[in-house]
Amino acid sequence: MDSNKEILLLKKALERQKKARLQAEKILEVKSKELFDTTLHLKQANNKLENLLTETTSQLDGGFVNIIDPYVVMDLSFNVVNMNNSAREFLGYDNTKETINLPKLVHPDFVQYTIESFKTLMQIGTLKNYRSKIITKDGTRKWVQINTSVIYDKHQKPIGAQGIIRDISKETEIKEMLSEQKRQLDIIVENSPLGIVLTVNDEIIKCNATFTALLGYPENVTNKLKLSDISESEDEVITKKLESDLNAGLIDNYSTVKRFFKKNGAQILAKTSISAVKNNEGKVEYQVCVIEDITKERQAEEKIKAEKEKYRGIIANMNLGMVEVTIDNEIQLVNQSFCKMSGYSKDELLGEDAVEILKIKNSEKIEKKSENRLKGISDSYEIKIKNKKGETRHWLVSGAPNYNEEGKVVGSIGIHLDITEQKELELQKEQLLKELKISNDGLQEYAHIVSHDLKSPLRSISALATWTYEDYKDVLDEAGVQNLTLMQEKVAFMDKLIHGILEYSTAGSAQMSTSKVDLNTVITDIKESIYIPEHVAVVVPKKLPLLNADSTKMHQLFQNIIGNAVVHIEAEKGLVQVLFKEEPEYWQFCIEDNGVGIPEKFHKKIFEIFQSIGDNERSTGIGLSIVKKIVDRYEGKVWVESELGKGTKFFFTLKKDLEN
Amino acid sequence: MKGVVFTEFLEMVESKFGLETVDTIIENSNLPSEGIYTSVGTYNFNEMVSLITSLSSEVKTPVGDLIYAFGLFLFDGLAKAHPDVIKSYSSPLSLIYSIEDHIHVHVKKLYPDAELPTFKILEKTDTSISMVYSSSRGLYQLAHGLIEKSFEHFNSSATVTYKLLNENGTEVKFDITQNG
Repeated sequence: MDSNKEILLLKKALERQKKARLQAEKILEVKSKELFDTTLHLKQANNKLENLLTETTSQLDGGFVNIIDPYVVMDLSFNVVNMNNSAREFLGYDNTKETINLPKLVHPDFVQYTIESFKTLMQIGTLKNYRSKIITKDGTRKWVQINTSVIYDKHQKPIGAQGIIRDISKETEIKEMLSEQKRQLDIIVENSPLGIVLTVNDEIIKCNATFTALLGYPENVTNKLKLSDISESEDEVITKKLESDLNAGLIDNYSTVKRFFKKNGAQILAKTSISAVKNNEGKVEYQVCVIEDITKERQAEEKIKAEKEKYRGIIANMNLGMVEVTIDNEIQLVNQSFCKMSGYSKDELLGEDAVEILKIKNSEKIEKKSENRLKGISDSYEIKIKNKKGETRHWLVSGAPNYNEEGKVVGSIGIHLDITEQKELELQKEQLLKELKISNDGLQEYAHIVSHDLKSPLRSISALATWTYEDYKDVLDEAGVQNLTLMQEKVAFMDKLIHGILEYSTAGSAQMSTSKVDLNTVITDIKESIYIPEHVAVVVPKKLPLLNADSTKMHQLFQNIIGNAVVHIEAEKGLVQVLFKEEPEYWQFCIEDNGVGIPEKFHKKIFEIFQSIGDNERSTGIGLSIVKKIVDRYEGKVWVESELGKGTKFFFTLKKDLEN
Repeated sequence: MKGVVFTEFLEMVESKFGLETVDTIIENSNLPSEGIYTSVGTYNFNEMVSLITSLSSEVKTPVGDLIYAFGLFLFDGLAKAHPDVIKSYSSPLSLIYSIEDHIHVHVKKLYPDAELPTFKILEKTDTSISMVYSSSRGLYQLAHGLIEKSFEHFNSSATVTYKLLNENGTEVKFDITQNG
């Protein structure tokens, strides 16, 4: 290739290179411009973003400061690095003045929970609804709820945490109060003696223990029951009407008696009160049923009714007159017998003054009894009335106060028995007794006088006979002397007889002078004063007791028996023993001899007056009747045990403590 | 197409066939750019087609071979312009493996409007790689040349076979096995 062509080619190539350079420069210029524009745009955008960032930050700061709830920012050791005013106020601490380590504020009870919560916070990055009790600077305990989140740096490394504290002390208090109230309410409901059931549309939602116990269902079963399945009303028609009225809102509650079926098939009657519980819109939401078991009451009522009927029948038909009067003696009620007794009809009696219509004689007595009634005293007494016919009748009245429901005395109830006949008999008896006493007294006086008066002629006869014997003993033949002697003996017997009568008439006398009597002395005296044959001995093997008795009568008692015993002994060596034994209420004595004995047919007869066995001239037949009289006086008994030829035992008892 | 490809292409033509051939093909191609190219510019792909076609008839060499040769040449040009990129790889296989994920990412940074082929990796071992070239340009021989040259650059060699997945050569599967 020649050099010219080469130069031409090089020129062309150079031209292309120049143009390429220009083109590149132009491109670069355009690119530069673009770059500048982009930079400018970026700068503006940056500025805008920065502003936005600052704004947002300040907004956030503002929000943080002005936030109502306490807000704190803490580092990883839970020391507060920032807090808003609300937090300062709430906690009482200020992070700009002192170090606040949040876990130290936590109440000791919640430390463990707090440690676990913080662990969760660090693991998950947030912690919601942390609840605990804290103690603020002034010592106040507060319930708080805290929501926290971890703050990370741009490398996602945790650098701290922020949290909003909410004071839930009041909330918690209310909650606790509510739960306490609920608990109290539960206690009341559970311990109520009444069954309580909550129903919705007849279905049992809830019931108390009393209800389940009442019906015998386990608690978990009752929730599946309908009230109508386990109960029926006594009167379905009325109950249905009440039920629909309740549902319609016409009434708020009603009561009815329902029959409940227990699980075991038994039935109970219950007074059931149903109340509607309405919601805000006035619609019935629940029904509360309160159930009271009245089975027993009902049974008792029926029993009382039957009892009443029974007693009404008894009162109407009894043979005693019954009257019910007010405090003012106005007749309120009478039975048939009372009408019959008084002769008045029921209509004539009711409303009348009992004292007036019956013309009660001793009306002041009635007034006194009325006073007793007001004091609640019951008693019985006799009254004298006039029946309709005007006849005087004697009534025995048993009066008792009549109370009203409040327990106040409103009058009295009287039961009357006509005792006119008994009264008349009694009066007769009294009269007879009076007459008897007079005649008895007269008789005793008579006996006394007679025996006394009889004694002096006897003594005269005895003296005359003695004189006759003295003056004429030489003149008289043997028969005459014997007659005089016999005469003397008969007079002596006569004297004895009169003495006996005199004793007998005084033995039963009422007057007794009671004193301490030593029976040993009594026996000694007797032994000295009576005739005891030589072959007979009277012994006291055991020392006799001291009695509270009339000494004269004791003397008479023992003398008569001993005196009898000693003279009826034919054995070579006679023995009379005085024995005794003590009973709780009586002394029992026994006088035993080894005499001739008494035939059994006389064992009773001998105690009657003037009865003597055989013709023994030494016995008057009065002695044992005196014994009987004295023993009677001491409320004792006397009897005899005897065997002919072997001996006799006289037993008698004396009451220890005689009342008069 | 990026200006660098045109400047490098003309560089190769000048060095291999002389300044006259450069001028001839530019004159024969009737280019809107009049053959004036700067690496920072962007030009119509048809200009490249015209230039290669002109060169092929001028030097009586098939278009494919010329493109392959251009690939070999282009690697050195690019390596000279961006030595840091090449330096960050220790082996040709790791460089090829990272075309899509690393090199093309950097290209996009400088030339956001660049239209780049994609290399979908089917399989990779320590000594081989299997991938599918995909580009509407269909310049798979260029890719072939670049691959061969990258082994050469690391003083290594490889057996590179390819198979056209369609007639236009817009999708081509490469199987590369490093020698030795």
